[in-house]
Amino acid sequence: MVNLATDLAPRNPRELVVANPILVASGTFGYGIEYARIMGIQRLGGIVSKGTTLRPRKGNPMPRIAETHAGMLNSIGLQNPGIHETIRKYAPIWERWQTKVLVNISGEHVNDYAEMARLLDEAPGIAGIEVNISCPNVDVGGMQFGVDCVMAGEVTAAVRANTTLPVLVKLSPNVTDIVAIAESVVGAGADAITLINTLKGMRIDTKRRRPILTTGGGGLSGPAVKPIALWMTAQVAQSVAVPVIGIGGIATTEDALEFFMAGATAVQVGTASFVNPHAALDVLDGLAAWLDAEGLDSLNEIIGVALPGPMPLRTTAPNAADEADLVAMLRTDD
Amino acid sequence: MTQIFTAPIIENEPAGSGSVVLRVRLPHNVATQTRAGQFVHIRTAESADQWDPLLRRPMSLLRVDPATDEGLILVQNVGRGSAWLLGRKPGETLDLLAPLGSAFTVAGNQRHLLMVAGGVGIAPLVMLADEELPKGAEIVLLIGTQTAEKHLPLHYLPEQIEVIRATDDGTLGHHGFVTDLMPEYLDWADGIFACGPNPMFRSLRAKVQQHRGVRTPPVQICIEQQMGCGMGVCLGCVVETKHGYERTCTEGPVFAMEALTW
Repeated sequence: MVNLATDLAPRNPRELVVANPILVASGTFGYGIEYARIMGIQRLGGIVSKGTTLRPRKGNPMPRIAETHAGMLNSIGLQNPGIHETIRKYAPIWERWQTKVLVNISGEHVNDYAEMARLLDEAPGIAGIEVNISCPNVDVGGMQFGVDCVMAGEVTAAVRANTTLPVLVKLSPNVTDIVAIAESVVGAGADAITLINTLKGMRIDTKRRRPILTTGGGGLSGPAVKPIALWMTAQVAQSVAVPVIGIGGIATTEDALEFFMAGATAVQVGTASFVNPHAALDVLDGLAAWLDAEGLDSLNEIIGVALPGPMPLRTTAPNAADEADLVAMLRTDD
Repeated sequence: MTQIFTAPIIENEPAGSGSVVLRVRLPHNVATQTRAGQFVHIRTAESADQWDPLLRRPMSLLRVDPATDEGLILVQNVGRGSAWLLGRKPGETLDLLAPLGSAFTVAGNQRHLLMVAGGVGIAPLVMLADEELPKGAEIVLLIGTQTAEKHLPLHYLPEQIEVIRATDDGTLGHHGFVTDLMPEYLDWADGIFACGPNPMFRSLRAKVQQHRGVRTPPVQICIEQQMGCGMGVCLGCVVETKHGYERTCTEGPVFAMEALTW
């Protein structure tokens, strides 16, 4: 049996060692407990919670979802009970779990992020924080932090200053240069990058001559977005010296292998869980079987192998000077 | 008890214009423990490695035979997923996630049950009738569709219930809305159980509010709603209630009408 354990925050003394590199994405797996009744969630490498805000949010009016070809649009609007209730209700449960739980946080102001980081730092059962600077479905905050290098860095720094927990920053694909944003948040203290969040999209009901979603547009996810997510993963993996966690349309082991070969240290299965709740575990079982069949004893042997330049980060980070060199050398966003 | 399973299709039976009844074999515990109102969430992609159409489709069971573990699923052609289901043949299988959601609840002192069905909304009500008839309930089932040929063939309904039908175009039974038929039963009914499209619920609510009888029977409705996950995590199927948004797939699909704010 191949050892799939990996540290997603090698720069952080508190570490984020997951038993395997298959996690489930924020917004697609609730708080974990919803799926516990039908599957062995403890086998997952990790669970990223539903996006959480400082205060409770009601979310957007219906309709909130619309199916697309091999994908779906959503505009949920971060409906959640707020960080205090989330910690009170779920942290004691998470504390007993074997699988690692990361809390995804989203704010309207930089101070919101700072406050949530401080609260999570003191809470039990939380292995790390995923900072959402990329939600496309809220009026204030969310993605606006993720499309601006300075803002993205400020949010990351504010979180970093308020917790020693591993900090992952989840990037928006709705930007001109995702590499620049990635570099900014890594410079501000991110322990790892997760990408991508959903792509802004739209559908129109031609009978009503109106958008299907009440908010007009929403975030596209599902197998349809995989090639874009893979490309962005490859770009960022070649440019930063922290682990990159790939997300976007991953539904099968083959999909996950593509992300590893594009430089991802781990992946998150998202929308596929809606369709097949076992998708992430199927990916995990398939990955172990594939490595076995290939005669490989570590995932490290395939991480980034499809990229043209030197291999991206595996388990140890180069020093800052090396990192700058690497960035200069590998920028391929021509 | 909720589980993912493969259900062999035993029969695909025509059931009115644009609809079929799929007769499937269920796991024994699903066949015996699923309650009226709960739904099955069906994959409609060609195979497990296909992802289009992406999302599962929520459908109600029409009837379940606990002796044979056979379940009937009423499918109406409303889009890509249901169109695929209409074409399924005996010997093929369905990928189901079930049972999900809440069920109708009938109190012991509710003996006279008025059921109001719009279109495929009839399915969970037939199942409810099957559950309550052995307990001695008297049931009146009002069924409305757009036109005569969209009515479910009567042989799918239990014989012991009184069935009154309506059509929007007057081709069968009452010419008009199914809710027009309600007033004369409101004094008789101990409870009202309904499933159908949202406009039918609004009309139903108006009929109940206009009623000037000795009492007003409580109403439970089973909501038809597009869904994502069916497991309560995507928050794509919420409905506005007095307690805020609740999930049709988890707190619902059966709600007390007075809890809903629309």
